[in-house]
Amino acid sequence: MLLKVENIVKHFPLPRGWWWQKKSKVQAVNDVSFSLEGGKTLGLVGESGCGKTTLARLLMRLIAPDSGKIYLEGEELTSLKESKLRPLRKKFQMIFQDPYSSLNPRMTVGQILTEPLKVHGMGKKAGYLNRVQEMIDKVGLSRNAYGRYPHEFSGGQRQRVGIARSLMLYPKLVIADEPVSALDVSIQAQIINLMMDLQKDMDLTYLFIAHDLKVVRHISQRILVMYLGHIVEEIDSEHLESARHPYTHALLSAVPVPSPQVARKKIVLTGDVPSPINPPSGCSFRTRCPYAQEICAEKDPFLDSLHDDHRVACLLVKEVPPFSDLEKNSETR
Amino acid sequence: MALILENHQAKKLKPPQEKSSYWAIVRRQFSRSWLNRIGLIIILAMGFVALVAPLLANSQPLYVRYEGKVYFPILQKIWPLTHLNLYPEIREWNFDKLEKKGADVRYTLVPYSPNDYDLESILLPPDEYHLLGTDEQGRDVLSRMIYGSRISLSVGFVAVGIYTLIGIIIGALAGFFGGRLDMLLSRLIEVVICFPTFFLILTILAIFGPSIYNIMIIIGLTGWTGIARLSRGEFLKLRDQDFVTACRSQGMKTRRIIFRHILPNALAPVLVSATFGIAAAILVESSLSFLGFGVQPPTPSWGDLLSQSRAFMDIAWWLTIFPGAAIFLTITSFNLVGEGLRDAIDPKLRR
Ligand SMILES: Nc1ncnc2c1ncn2[C@@H]1O[C@H](COP(=O)(O)OP(=O)(O)O)[C@@H](O)[C@H]1O
Ligand SMILES: [Mg+2]
Repeated sequence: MLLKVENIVKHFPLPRGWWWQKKSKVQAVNDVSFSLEGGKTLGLVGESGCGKTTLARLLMRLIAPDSGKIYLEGEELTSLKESKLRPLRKKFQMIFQDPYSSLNPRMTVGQILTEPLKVHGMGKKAGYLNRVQEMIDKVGLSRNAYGRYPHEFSGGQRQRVGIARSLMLYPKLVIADEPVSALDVSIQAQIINLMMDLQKDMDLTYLFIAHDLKVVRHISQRILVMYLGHIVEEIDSEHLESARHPYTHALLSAVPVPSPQVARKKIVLTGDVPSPINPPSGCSFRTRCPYAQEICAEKDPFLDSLHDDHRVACLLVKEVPPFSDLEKNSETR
Repeated sequence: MALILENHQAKKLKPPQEKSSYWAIVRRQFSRSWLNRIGLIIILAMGFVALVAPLLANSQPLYVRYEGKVYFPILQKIWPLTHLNLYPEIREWNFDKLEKKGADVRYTLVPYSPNDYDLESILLPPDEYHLLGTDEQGRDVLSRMIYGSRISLSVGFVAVGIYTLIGIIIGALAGFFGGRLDMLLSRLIEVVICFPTFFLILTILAIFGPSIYNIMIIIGLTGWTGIARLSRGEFLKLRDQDFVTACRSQGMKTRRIIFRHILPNALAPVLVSATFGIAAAILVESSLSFLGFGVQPPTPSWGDLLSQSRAFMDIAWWLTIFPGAAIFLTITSFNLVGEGLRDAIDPKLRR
């Protein structure tokens, strides 16, 4: 396993309003565990605000978790000091959501891409130019991009620069936090295809984050579904149709079906996403769940193996049919 | 295919011959307005005059050829050559007599030193010899003003240089590190803002004696609050941007992040503020000199010239008008350039 995450928790304390009020906190990431095999892509989906970026920042060791462990190639990261961590950082890099704020506006593309080499003192200075040009080629930018500034590029091209920057140090793991959400739909596919090509070329492992199941499904072998800081289901993307968690059902039903004959019944969730400051007791999804019963308010569900590679966090997992059965029912009706 | 298209679009967006770094764009934006350009030209001209003052106004000839030998007597008056004693023989020479003997003697534009008094030509109105007239001791007003520009500009630049540096450092520390340090420094800023700078300077000058160095230092030590607040805000805003997060995820050291990545992005508004600050500092120096707390006679400064002119206001208008105009013009130019810079860096106005 390249990456192994165990019971990671992050709560952000909120500033207290008045001295008599209780201190509250945002429960951004709650007891998340998963592992990721080298060379594979793990997708992470969930509505915005469910804690995806926070999880990415935890894994990148940009913020410290309240508890939990992160193992990269067997080495525990959370207990390392920044000075010890620094040389390891070239193994895991990040691609950011916003292609505008993620590039320094005062630096040329060449300077942006040379920075990581300088910081880690990679090889001889004389070789930097070649390595940068090589990467510019690899991500499909034109050669003259080297001396240009970010504002001269379109969103899609900027994201290519961001990808190039994350790959300059030849990382093993790349955490891509919604790398295409800010882009035009026409350009999204280009970027995803580029990332898949680069994965083969450079033997990369991806944690690919998106709020849209359609995007994630295309690139990932396995998928994590996140809701209010919890992982509610983990499943092979090939078997996505047999998903059991009602929340995954809702996400799946929102993905348009390729063939127009099948009119997919859209599962519309009622109510708003509860606030992560005051999540519901028991199962955090129960306030919007069509199957919810009393027990859901009382007991906390935990991520339990249903089959070998299928884990679901639902107390009523026996009563909820797989997604494909729901589809059949709606067709016969 | 689509890729080629994208690149093509980028080329159409901006012709490649045009420089597109941030400061190149700011420069283009700035020079769109002729007011900005005039302001900048005036400042540069003033700066040039101040820099080469001894070569512009000097009673020593620029160039003398006498009995086949060439001398540059003016060099004796230019620091640090003053210490060298270049031409020991020249000291006794009278250049007027020398000229009658057939020497070739050439003077600078203004052939008077600022403190050369000539009691035979006091309070002369402007004429072809004294372009801006003379004062009550027969000193050339233009020469004194040329030397006065050195005082005004150096007070402006040194004082603002000191406080810009202090302001950036304090603002950067508060904004980047936040937390307790930010709270502490923010309180410090609030306290220093409350200091009545002008009267503080008066008090300190009363204790330590009037001198422009004291003025520079006091303005420098008390004037940084505006810059500190400004750069604190910029650092606060920038430190959470994704490009800074990217730096951290690369394992970059904090110092490099601050100086190479955040500071260049925070500098523009600070520069605008500093430009206005120079105008303000020059005004403070002029006011203090006017009150007699600035440079000490006979060293000329614009405020001091203005102050001396009061006694002769109704008989010698040139003593008041010219130094007043110089102060006015300089302050206005710095403010114009400040406004122009502010507009030029404002992304909202950019096409
Ligand atoms: N630094 C922070 N301080 C306080 N709350 C935060 C912070 N970062 C994120 N949050 C909160 O944590 C929750 C999860 O945010 P985020 O991880 O950005 O979600 P996502 O990326 O899935 O949209 C949100 O409610 C957000 O407001
Ligand atoms: Mg996010």
